[in-house]
Amino acid sequence: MAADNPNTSEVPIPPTGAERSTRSCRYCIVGCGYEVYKWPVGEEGGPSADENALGIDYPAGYGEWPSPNMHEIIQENGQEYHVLFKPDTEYPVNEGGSHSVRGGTQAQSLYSPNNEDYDDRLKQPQIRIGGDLVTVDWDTAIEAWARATEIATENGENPNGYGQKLYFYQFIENTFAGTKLCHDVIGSPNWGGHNRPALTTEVPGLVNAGLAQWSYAYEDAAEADTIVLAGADPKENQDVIFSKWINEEGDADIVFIDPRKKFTANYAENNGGIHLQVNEATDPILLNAIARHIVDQGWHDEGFIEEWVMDNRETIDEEGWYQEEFGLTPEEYYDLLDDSRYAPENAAETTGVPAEDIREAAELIAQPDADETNTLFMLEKGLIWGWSHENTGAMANLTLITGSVGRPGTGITRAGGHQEGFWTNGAEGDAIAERSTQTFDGEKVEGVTVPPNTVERVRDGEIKHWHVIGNDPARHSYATQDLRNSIRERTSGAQPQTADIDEIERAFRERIENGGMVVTHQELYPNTTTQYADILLPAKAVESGEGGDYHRWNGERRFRQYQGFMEGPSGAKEDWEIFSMMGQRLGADDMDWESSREIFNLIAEEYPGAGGDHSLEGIAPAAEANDMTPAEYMETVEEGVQQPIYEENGEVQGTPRIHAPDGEREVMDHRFHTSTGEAIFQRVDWDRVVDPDDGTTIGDVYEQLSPGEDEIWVTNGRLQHLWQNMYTHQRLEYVQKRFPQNILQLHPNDAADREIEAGDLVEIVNDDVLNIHGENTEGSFTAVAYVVDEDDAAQGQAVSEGLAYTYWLYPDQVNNDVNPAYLDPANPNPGYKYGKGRIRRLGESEVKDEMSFKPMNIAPE
Amino acid sequence: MLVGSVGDLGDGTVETFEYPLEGTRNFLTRIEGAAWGGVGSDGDIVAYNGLCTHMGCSVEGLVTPEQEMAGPCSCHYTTFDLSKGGMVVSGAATTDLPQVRLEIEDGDIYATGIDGLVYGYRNNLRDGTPIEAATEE
Ligand code: FES
Repeated sequence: MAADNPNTSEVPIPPTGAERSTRSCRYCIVGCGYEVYKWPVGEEGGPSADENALGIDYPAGYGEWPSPNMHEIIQENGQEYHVLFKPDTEYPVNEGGSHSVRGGTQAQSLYSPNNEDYDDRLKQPQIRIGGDLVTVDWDTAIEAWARATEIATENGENPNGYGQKLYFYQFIENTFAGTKLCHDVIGSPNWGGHNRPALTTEVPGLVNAGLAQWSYAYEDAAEADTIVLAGADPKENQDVIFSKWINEEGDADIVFIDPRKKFTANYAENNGGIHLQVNEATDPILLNAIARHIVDQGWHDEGFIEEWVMDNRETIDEEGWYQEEFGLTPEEYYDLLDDSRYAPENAAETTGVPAEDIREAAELIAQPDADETNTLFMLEKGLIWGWSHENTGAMANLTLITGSVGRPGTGITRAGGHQEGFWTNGAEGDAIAERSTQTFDGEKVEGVTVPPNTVERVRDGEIKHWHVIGNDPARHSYATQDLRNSIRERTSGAQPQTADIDEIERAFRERIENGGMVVTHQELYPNTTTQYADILLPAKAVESGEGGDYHRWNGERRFRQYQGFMEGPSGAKEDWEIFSMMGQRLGADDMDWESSREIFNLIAEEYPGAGGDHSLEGIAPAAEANDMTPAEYMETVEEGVQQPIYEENGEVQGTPRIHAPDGEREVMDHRFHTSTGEAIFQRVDWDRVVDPDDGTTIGDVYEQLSPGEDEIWVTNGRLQHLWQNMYTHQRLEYVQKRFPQNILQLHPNDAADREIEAGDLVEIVNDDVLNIHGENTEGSFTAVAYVVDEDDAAQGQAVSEGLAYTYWLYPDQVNNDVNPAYLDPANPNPGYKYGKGRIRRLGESEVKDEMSFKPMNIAPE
Repeated sequence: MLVGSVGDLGDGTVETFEYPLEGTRNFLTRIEGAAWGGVGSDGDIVAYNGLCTHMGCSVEGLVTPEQEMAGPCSCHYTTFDLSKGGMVVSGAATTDLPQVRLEIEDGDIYATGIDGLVYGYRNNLRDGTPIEAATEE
């Protein structure tokens, strides 16, 4: 039958002469290898292996196929180029071509002037004049930034007036330059990361126990007998860890701890593991109950504890204020577990996890019949953005009582987020110690200076010039509806009426002297914070290959080079260059760098972080032995190298895992990161007093956070397709199609009670957003109801009654507006996960017929 | 190309056929409700290519017409919504499952093209041998 042929889709084949470069994915921590082929439009390779740059025969086989979304056409200097951005089948992380949906579609995120979805890419510096952003030249923009900084800091007299909100996720060259500007050149302690308001660890209970947060090698996931996934779901946010290392190469039983019965919960249950469907915010009780059962049964590793866990109270107290407050001797720890609250039957009441499941999980974790316990503990934001000390400390304790660490198939690690490239010259220590205006009072220690919560300093006026780089705090923070009210108020004063620099200075001075604030925003695309920006600076998307060469590491500390391959918008600059212009304008004489490689060479030679978990100290000597610069040398290290990095026989040597037992290389001189090399149990106590003034405990805060009448818990997290605030994915058709709006997963009974069905637009309102700093506030957001009928829920409902789930950072439908201002006072990390609200139907959404509402939790039986 | 007949396609049936090249295997099925691009009086007859668009494993034997899904793929567990053009419900595939365009004439079902690139190919009609049209037309 003759018919129109709709087979129009075609992916060109790179010719043998196509330019090839390598890098890792721009997105998640797994850090899969990708290779990039670039060649002029008009040229094409052939379908047999010797006729194309891929060296494959078409049709392509398993894992070899460049899909249409791995291809893009970019434009540079009037010439169009094909770019094929595909998994590197030789890279050790994702050998064979494994990839996630995010990594596999990143070609589509490349800047292309032909793609109207990218029309709003920031291309020139702008300044808000008379209410609107107006294009200016770079010199004017940098001068305006400098004058705002001088006014805010009273010409350096009061450095705290400048606040910086930078990223942890970017490359070491850019974070080094940015933090140098903040802490060294300006001297301000007021620094926040992209995802939290202070320069704090995400896992205080881990690092203060002497454990590293990224301590394992991916092969440990393949070799473990049991894997504990607590508040972490690699299937959702670390696809290749799940699909390749846990599933394909491994055979572990999974203990999945999560309030939702999602894919990985069903996968665990169907494959010899167990799902502990914990009630929201009750993890410390559950984890203590598991530990208690292990100790009660005598399944704990007494030999390990004897040798490797600190048991002298005085030594613990001398370790530091955190350990004095939260460290426990083994005896104190066992006493704490003895509290009847943690008996499995009692814990079952609060956590919703049946006592027999708690016992079964304890047995899977401790492996009492094995000679050695091979359990790998993985945790992420479900624990981190909650009771961050208690949740992370409880995981550290489980690791230590089982002695399951430092050997293949064991360990404790974070399991999510972005790749890491946070590097400094060390100036933050003094800036915080000398100038932070935030202190902590505990039950034992008093008046301890801690890194300042910059969001509160934006609200209270201490920060007068807020420099935001590569993130969107007006949406990424906690209780953001109220935060936006503050920012709006503080930026609404005097405004320049012309681009004359003295007029700009006059307006900024008037505004700041009246308690206002100037906002500089350095970004790729506009976002919510841009609405309040006075100075807008366009950056190059170096993580996608624009500009120079860069370095960062992944979740097994594999450190590598990312080679730039395209220009990006010509008016944008790389972040280090912007920081360099700013620093030099303020008088720094050591920031006149010419390239990202020059900064890398400086770091490798002078600031290699020697001795630490992420030490780069072997790079410079290996480069010298090969008569190369460090950046040139890293170009030759094609598989990357695991930190800490040493030099041996003229080449770099990596370290597969931290906390290896005696006889192997020790990191920071000791097996565990304390003065004696012994780890320290952490106090995980539902009765911990978090407000010494009124005796409020964790348990009391839990009561305040819990949903009231007509409310349900509204928690949040990842969806496999979506990355962070979707700065690329909101512009990428294939991904947008799956989630054209934010979703709210609801149990059908909760939906029916509110006359809601799948595809309805709903509003989530929390009129009691807890604020530990003052009055409670209000917040709301909207989303599309994702409801699966009981008939279709072949493996159960993902959410139970009383719990709703939403994507954490969907543009303009952001649930942080309802999330509490509860931050651990010892280590101000926010409890983003603990939202609640009333849900009501607004009407039928525009996307009701476009979206798929099929169950996302169907796992192989 | 003739790929089946409405009368033979009962509830829950999954049939396979090659199109447009030799070795390009597709499945034909009748799902629970109406589908995008579905044919037949209820718009519930659909056909899709059988190779998962993630890394090329077959989902042919993993079609559940009553759930209107294909998958989870046995390799990395991608699932596709057969009522919505092969859209990925969850999983790592970077394109939808290619949907075979169908037409019905006198109770016979014909394939008339494919929306979306079949796994492994640069073009659905190149690098292989076309299937001869198996009908008098
Ligand atoms: S090949 Fe089907 S999910 Fe990977």
